[in-house]
Amino acid sequence: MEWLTDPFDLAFQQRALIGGAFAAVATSVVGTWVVIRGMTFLGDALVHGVVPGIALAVLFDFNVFLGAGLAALVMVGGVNLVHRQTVFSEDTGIGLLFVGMLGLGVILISRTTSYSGSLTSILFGEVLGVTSRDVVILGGLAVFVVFVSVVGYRAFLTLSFNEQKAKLLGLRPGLTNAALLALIALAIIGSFETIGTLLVFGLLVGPPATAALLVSRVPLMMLTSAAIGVLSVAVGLVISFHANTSGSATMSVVPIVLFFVVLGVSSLRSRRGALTL
Amino acid sequence: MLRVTTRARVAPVALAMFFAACGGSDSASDGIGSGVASDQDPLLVVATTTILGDVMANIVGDEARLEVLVPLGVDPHEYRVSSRQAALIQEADLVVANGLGFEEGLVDVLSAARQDGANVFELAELLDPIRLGGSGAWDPHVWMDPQRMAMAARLVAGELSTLDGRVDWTAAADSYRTRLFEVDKEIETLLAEIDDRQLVSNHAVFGYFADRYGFEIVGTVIPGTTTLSDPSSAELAELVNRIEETGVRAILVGTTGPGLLAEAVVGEIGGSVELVEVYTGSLGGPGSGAETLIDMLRTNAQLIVEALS
Repeated sequence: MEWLTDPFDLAFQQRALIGGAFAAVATSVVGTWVVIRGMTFLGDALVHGVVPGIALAVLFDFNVFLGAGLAALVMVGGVNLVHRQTVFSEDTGIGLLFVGMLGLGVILISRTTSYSGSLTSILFGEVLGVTSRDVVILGGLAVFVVFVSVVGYRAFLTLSFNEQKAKLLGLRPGLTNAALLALIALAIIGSFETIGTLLVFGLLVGPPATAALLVSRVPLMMLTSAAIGVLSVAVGLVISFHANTSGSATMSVVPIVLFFVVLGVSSLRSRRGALTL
Repeated sequence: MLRVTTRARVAPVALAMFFAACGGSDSASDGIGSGVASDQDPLLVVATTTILGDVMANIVGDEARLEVLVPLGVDPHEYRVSSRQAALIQEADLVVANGLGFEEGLVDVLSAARQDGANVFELAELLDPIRLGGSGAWDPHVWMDPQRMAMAARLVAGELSTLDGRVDWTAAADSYRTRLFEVDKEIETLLAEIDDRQLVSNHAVFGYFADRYGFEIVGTVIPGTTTLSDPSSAELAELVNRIEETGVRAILVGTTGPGLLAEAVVGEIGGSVELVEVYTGSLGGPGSGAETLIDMLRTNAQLIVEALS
């Protein structure tokens, strides 16, 4: 069993595992809504759209979470504006803001002379470099996200499946939608600076989508997704250790591979089921 | 039977591991990561770049186990480690890094490892660093000056002596220093032939070379210290103008960085300026003439002389 325990011998590996696991819990809860409501592109855009905020924070030396939060606000506000004022579907607005914000980010980054503002460190934070403080932040984030999801569960659920009904029930879909967006932004901002964009986005989409293939009830989907996410983080660390591959990148590939494995198995089973029928 | 070793410390319960992780360095310092060599084991030395790996190989010889993180020919600005390599950093008795932010993809890992008690020795800041032209940032590319690397050899030998006093590290370092001073003289003689002492480089990697041998860096294609930023159209136009005004004849491009923009500049100016491919962030492969730091510095000087004479 040493090949399984060796990759978790050292403190940084344990922090990567626990930090990654906390991020997986937070992104699983949020990501389930993302997958159900078809907001994946918005999630992707948010991940990259916060870059100019962070670059500004580095340039003018203020808190990066604040910078990222401001950028997310601009991003979501812009997407909503395009959606409401034009006949375009939502993804056009997302695309516009995505490119605009990322371009702005690169412009700002090319003006910084310090390394801390480099595009690599912003986009690909490093899960193997997670500190104890980061682990505490990620833990707090996971608890908060789960709490809000439990409290707002009925509102989120109704919004996801029947917006008309949500209005009739007095659940204020506008406000619920805003809360959900804020929750997505929070999950991304809170975790991507420490564990990296790639990994956050991998965990936001991979495990919930895989869970959606396996189960159909939303709370069960969140639980399954969290389990898959934590497993992915652990398996990714084991692979990164034994195959000598980049940490964050490996951990973000694992849930995607898992998705296709589950997809393959389930489509094989349904075909066989169809034959026996 | 259950064997009680440091490996068995891995608690299967996530909560237990959470506290271990929040406790910081304790699980590393009493485990494998201790910085003191036992009586039999040779030291484990980790170098970040191939260049530092070569320097360390010359000093430690067979007396220590040496591991290099960034593979040959890969841009160290962009390289990212695996979990195994991060473990090596933690377990090593000495980690030799360039520092001043050069290893961009390793910054987080190195600083976390240091917090856990790893012995990370960053060289550039100790070698009388210079600032990049026009900006306040420190220039990390110290290895382009053999005299500074001779200083580095002495510093790491001192560090090794405090870790393991049984080996005479200083003797090996001194013979390597002699060879660095020799190639320094050799390059000086080579470069004495040319009067044209103006250069443009793809990214700001020749500051220390210019400082040591009296060259003027007229401009760089990519602004800033890193290979990852992008110049504006006006900056490129200004560079083209400056090259035409000053009559610079060579643009130095590293083998590890991107060179498309430099090619565009050459295309704009025409035949009077030449693109010279030199070794910068990584040593060259077998047969390249840049297999070691000393060969790399000599080869670069020869290429520059060829382009300018």
